[in-house]
Amino acid sequence: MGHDDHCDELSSPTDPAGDLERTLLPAAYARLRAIAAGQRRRMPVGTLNTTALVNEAFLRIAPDNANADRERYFALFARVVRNTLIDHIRSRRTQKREAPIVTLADDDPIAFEERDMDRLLAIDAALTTMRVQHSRLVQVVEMRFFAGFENQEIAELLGVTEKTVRRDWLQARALLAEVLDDE
Amino acid sequence: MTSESAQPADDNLLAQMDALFDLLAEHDDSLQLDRLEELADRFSPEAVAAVRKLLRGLERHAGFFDQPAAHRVSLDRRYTMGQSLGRWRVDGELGRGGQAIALAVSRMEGGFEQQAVLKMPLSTPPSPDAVRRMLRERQLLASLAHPGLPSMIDGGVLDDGAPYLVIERITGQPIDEYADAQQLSLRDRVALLRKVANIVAYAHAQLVLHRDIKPANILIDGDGRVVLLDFGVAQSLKADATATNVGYTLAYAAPEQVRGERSTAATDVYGLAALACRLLGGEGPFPDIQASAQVRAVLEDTPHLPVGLDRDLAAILQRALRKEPQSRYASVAEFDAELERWQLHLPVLAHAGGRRYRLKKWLRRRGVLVAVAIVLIAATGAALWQAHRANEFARQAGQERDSATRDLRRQELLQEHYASLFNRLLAADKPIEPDALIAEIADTRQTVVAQNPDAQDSLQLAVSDLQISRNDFAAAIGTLEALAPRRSRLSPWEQVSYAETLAVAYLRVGRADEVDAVLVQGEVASNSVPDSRINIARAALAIIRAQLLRSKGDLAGSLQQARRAVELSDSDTSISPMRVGQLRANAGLSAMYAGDIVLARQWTRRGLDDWQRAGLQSNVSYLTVSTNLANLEQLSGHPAKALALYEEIESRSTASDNAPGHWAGQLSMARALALMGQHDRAIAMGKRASSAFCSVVGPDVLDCQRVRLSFADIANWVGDVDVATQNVASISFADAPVIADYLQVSRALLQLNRMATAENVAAVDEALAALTAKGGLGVRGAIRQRLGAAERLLAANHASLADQMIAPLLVTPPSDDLVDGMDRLWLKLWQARKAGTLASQGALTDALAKELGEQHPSVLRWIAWRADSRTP
Repeated sequence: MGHDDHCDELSSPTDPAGDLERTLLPAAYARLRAIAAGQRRRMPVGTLNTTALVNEAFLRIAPDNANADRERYFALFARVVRNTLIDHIRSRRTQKREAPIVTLADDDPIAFEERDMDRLLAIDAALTTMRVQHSRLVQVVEMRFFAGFENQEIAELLGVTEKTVRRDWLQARALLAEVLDDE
Repeated sequence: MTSESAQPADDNLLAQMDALFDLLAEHDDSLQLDRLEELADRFSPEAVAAVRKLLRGLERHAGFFDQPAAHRVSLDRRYTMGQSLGRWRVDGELGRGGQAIALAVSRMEGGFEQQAVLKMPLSTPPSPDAVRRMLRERQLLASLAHPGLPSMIDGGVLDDGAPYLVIERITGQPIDEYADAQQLSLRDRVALLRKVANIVAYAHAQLVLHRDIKPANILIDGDGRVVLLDFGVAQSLKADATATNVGYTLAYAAPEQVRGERSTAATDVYGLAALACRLLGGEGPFPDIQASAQVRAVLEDTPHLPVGLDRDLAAILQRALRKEPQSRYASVAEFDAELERWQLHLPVLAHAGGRRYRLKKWLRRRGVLVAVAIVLIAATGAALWQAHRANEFARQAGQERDSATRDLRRQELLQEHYASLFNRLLAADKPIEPDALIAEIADTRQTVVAQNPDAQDSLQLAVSDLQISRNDFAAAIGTLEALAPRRSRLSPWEQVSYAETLAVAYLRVGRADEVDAVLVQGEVASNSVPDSRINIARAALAIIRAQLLRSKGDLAGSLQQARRAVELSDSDTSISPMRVGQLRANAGLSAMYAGDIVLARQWTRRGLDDWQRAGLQSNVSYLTVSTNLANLEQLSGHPAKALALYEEIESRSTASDNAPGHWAGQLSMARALALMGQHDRAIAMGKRASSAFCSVVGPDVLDCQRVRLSFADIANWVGDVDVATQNVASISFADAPVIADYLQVSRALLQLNRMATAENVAAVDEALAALTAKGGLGVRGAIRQRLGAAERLLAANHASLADQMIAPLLVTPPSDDLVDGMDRLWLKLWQARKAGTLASQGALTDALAKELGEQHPSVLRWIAWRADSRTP
């Protein structure tokens, strides 16, 4: 994969990842872009055919990674999406700290984003703690909240019922909402 | 579940909670809290309470999880090396800010590789705000063409709709590093700073503010070219610029930026001064202050000026770094001019708090003629006002931008011209006569104006205006006629001024026949004047047309034009108080000549009030117009009141202020003295005033004839036949409308004074009837002359001739609004005399004594005649 020529800050993730994870990076970007673009166009994520891209990437690596089953692969993909987004937020925040630019206007869009970025970092930290007791919940959150899959897709990928996904998503949100309260 | 054995109780709780979530998940989010209460008795209260708490928390934040996380973060744009963006190839990244990213790009163009900077919004898809900003920057750069600004090469739209722009890539060193590396001297650093100031001044002339002047934004390339970068936060002065406050660099930000207020040209003055602190002293104005404390420092602290900095430079920076924008230099050009003064070893103005203040102080100290001060202050003040207005217009209306820009630039050049002239005078340190001063002003060879033909023409226009204010009409005509071939190159506004000034000059030298054509040209040009100034342009021309009509004897038409001028100026609050005052005072004259004394007094008063409110009492015309007001008192039959006013005016004026105006005022005073019965003083003063007036303006000028006529009239009034004869004989322009009828009256009265005969009375009667027929002020004049002539006849014991003289007034008495004060009292006395009731008119003679004084000959006479009538 010719990803070494990507020269924005995302090409050097802070924690060194395995080959598989790095293989997934372009697909993770594509996924994030699709989500962001969908938001601008006010379209549901489901209508964006990035799952095909993820599938394609899976098929390409599958022969070389006999151990990589579908479930594990998609879980890992969702994790990469999450890490990618969080890395992006961290580097954005570093930039902001370093850049000698201040804006005092009340309606500054960046100020809004700032608060959301803080919340997402808090969610990320909470997920890391949660993984100990509720690893499946974390997986659902990654797939649904970060990778943007629908409940039905997640159910298929994890081989569980949709009801189980709904249940996990409910509990996960309820637990994560506590973190937002602290904000 | 890792802690099974260690904490069974917790485990149980967690298991119960898991079970609860199993059951709750079957329901919609909105029903779960209700469902939880239904399930409550089947679970431990702790588990129910814990889940209830969690669900309530979720209720508060449900929205946060509705959309995937990436919705809340805009992603940074991605590119690859060598990728194509438009026709450009990406070579690398130069930097990124809060909203934009700058790439080094290149393309092959005609066999050469062209290198450039491509700027685009950082986020994708771009926020509407980022798109707006990028488009604005593109627009701004496209409107600027200056070697000190990177030129825009290309622009376009990316796949996701983000606009990008491609600008010249400057390879150079930031100005501070450059200055240090080159070990530049103080003078070289000031020269460098001035180069930056000139670039900023250029951008201001294009109505663009920079608002983020700092060392990193100014590069010096290998050839020493100074380039100001990053108009990303630049703000257009145009009205449609919506952004009020965007990013800036705190270390160099002005207080108003930190306060989130609107930026002005003074914001960039501050930025330049902050840059100067770094360049001249090595540090910004608030060094070594943490970001959090810096906001307060910018707002409250005294800037740290470089230690040991030259005193003059320190004063300049202090002024430019003031917290309140309005107390800094008003423009970058002014700031730059100060630096230039410093370079030329001239006194800088910063010490004394402003050019005009300093000028006044200097003139006071030197005891130079007050007139010099007045002329210069008037000239500079007018230019400042116009520049201020041009600034306002530029802000108000987009479509007027071009003309406002041009005017602004010219006015700034003129200001600088005046400033440098002032400095020359300062350096020469000797008194100068007003006319020599005007000649100096007209001399453009040594100043900024020298390189700009348009500004030179504007200056000539200003000079002609000054010449008019000195009543040097011939010189003004010379100046303007020399300008005539280039008249069409002036802006429409200036063409109107041109017409205005030339028409006034022609009028005053009696070339009334040429005025109409000039006014028509001006009126045509006035149609192209920007909307915001069309009213004042039309008003200015209307008031001159009023004067033209007045000189042709069309008094009603004149009043109509004057009324139009006043209405136009009333409807426009943007006209300078100087102009409004002039217009109203002038309209007052038209009303006076039209005989509407009430309106004349109202307009004249308002004109004086306008000036007073604007602090313009010291302007050249103020005393003249005050004299007009006194004249109105005299015309309405209150000579004592008028005399008091004249005396007050005289105490404030000297002959050199405005010589013709001064002498004309003295002549009016002579007339008041005559009316007050002080005949000898009246003749002496009139003689001096009329001959002085004519020697100043020239004996062949129309105004001189009017003055002679006026003096002849005074002589007739006091019965001085010799003086009257002499003056009447010397009058030329006998057929001019403003002369003819009055001259007839003067001749007839002179004849009657020489010899009291029925024929001569009839001749006076005929002349007065002719004057009355013309309407206007002449009607009043005729009434007073008749009253005066009749009284002189009666006093000389020509009772029947007196009766013949006064008869028309008694047969058809004039309406009340035509006679006031002493005239009304005299008329009533004549009416009483005819009715035989004079004996009982003690109240009338008392009133006359009150108006004219108890010792006035007329008062004494009427008291005697009243006494006579009591014992027939």
